[in-house]
Amino acid sequence: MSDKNISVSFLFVYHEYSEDTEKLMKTSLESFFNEIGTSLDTESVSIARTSKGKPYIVGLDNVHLSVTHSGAYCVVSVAFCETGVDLQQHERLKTETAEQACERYLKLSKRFFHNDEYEYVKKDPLIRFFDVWTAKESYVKLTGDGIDDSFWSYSILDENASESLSSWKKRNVFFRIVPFLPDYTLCVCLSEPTTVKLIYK
Amino acid sequence: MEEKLFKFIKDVVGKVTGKKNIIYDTDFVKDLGLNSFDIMNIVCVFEDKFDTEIPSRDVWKLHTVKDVIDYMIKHGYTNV
Repeated sequence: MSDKNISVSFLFVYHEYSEDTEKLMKTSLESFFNEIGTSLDTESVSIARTSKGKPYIVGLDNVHLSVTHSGAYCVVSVAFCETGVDLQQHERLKTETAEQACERYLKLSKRFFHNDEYEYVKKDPLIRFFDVWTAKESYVKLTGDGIDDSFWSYSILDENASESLSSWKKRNVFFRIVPFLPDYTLCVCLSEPTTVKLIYK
Repeated sequence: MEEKLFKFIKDVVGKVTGKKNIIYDTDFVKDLGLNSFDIMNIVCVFEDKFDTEIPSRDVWKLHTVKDVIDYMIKHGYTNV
């Protein structure tokens, strides 16, 4: 396997799928190895989860994955480094106006985000809330900690975050907001700076 | 009392997620497919209703409707 392969990670996107999550992760793992020009004996590996729900591959220590669902989509991130991924549809409650949605996002930000993140979201809640939410979720999925009582004690924002988020480094990991559908936000978090390729399955 | 709390939970989940088919044993993630964002929205509605803050460590222990009902009774969140 060449060094060039190590610097690429993949996001496999599934739409209106019927398979269960574990099957999708295994399919993604096979696809990952096909994409990098090799193959995987899927009988030799299995996917397990830590006590906090983080998936990992038994039988393959140098490949990592993460999974997310929202709306009609499931996305699986596979990489040679630690990874976490989060997809979030910009859902509105029934009969909720844009203004009411803004208020709800601000309330959620104030309750669950660090103050720096809240201040960032305030400037454009409809978009920025989901950038921060998915970034933070992808981070706690990478670490395997999940959302716990320390979730709001730190900020995942770059010190210079004043415009829309795209790609940045914080807390020794790399965040990337990946262009997706208009009413979704997709963020992947990686422990190494890799090229991210999106593949629709 | 459990019936009253069940109805309250059903209303909140329905309002936040649009999902209405719940029973006492319904698992929020496994049966309803809720993600963290859905759960945080539900938590916010609860916290507003009872003017309280529910620790995250408690939230992630509440897997089913029954778990929530037991939690509400234990902590006195019964004035629905």
